[in-house]
Amino acid sequence: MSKKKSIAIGVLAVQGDVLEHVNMMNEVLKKNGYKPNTIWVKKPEEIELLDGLIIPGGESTVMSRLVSEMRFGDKLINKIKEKVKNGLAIFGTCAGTIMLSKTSSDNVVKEFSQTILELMDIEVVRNKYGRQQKSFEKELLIDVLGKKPFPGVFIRAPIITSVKKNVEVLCRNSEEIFAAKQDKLLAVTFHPELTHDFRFHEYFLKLIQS
Amino acid sequence: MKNLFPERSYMKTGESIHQLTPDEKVTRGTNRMKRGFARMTKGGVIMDVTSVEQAHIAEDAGSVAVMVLDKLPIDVRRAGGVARPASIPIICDILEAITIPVMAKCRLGHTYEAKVLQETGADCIDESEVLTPADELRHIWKWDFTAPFVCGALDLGSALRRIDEGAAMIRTKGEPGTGNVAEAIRHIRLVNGEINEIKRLLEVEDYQQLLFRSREMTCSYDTVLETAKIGRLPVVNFAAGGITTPADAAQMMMLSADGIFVGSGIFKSEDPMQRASAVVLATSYWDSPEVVYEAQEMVSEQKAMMGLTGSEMKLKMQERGAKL
Repeated sequence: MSKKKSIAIGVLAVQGDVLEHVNMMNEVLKKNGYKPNTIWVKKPEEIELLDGLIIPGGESTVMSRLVSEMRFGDKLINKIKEKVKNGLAIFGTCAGTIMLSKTSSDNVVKEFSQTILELMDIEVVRNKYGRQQKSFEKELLIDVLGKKPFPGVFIRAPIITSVKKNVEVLCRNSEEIFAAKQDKLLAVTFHPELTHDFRFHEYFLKLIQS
Repeated sequence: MKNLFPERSYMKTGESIHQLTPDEKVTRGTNRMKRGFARMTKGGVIMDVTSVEQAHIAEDAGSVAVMVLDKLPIDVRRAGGVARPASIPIICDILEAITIPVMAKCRLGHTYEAKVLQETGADCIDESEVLTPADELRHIWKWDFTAPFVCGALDLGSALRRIDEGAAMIRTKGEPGTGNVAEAIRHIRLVNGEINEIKRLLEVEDYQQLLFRSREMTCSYDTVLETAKIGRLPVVNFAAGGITTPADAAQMMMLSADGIFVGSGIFKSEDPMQRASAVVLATSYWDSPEVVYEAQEMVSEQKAMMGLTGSEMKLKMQERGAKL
């Protein structure tokens, strides 16, 4: 069987559950007839060839410190921002959503604030549900993924409190937004990579192709 | 491939239904929640702290979580006597002061001590051989808790026994409070070697020998089978015990650790902030020698804690814990 034009996807691998995303994305690529070549990226030059970038779950403070203050710091951030202007699609899960947001604050330590990539017009509050023991699973109804509920795995999750008009809300209840999309940027506050449901990663693939 | 044992019903315990808003049912404390929490710490460094001040330094340096204890392992060695968990007010103060996960150590087999730590709201509990064991025969039955547990292991058998008991995360023990990475390397190599062995047994479909190995290691057959199938521990595995320099951390990552615990190494050095940042950098970029070089350059060997070798040690913490 001949493979279609290959698609290059990277997972930002400075910290977090990188392997889970790599495995899931590779399954999705295979299923859609592409070569499963999702790679781990840590350096600015590795961003260059990507069509899509996943920012995984993890500790956003650690990720932001590693990409903003240390060795590759500004170069990595600037490279990502430059590539986004040229059509790079980004999928952020949990900590990745905090990295994508323009405004963030923390629920535990109120004065805490960090904004890193500042790419999406969303406002995020970290640790909104509390610490690990308050982490939970619940089913979510997401129209763009079809009628079957999506298993939402929320681990020390943030919430998206508000979005600007240019942002499409994909899933919400009365007070919280769980998933949002702005152009080719996709942000969710939970962890699709810890489930066996490939639909969000498939949705991201479609976003890259669009 | 046939699973000899029916699905373990005890894996279902520890789950409870809470109401978030009237129309939304949520589930907490599941295996996926607990193991998932550990997965989020991968590629990171967890630092031992004894005070709010140290917790702030750890957070600022890029630590992925902190481990609260009353005394650093090297001070536990010096002080002797019975080592118990940190005071509750200190744990609570740290919980309020920082945003990253807070873990706390309890004594081996001390179920009630763990229940008390769970009540503080700590993110994770470490059933730790650094403290004096409370039950010398049994470890805590960890499935019943909402909080995830991390447990020490020095070979594959002990790791899988802890997983059978509900541990969501393993750390290879090393020898805490020594500044000597030799034991950590020995333990992780042993675990890797034993995993390769059962992986090979599964490849040649030698189920008889797999069952024999599970009996030798006194752990359940299905955990052995799961490990052989995925070719690694079924939970996140950090390296611990004696890691002191950035290169130590990178070495452990190279040996397939998912992350690093640093105990006395940071706050018993004279350059804690520098050293903590450097270890974080080396752990994340362990596969780039030029970055680890830069991290190593940030610390001074003159400021490192003094090491202890095996023969100089009176107390071997790694030998603590039930043999079954």
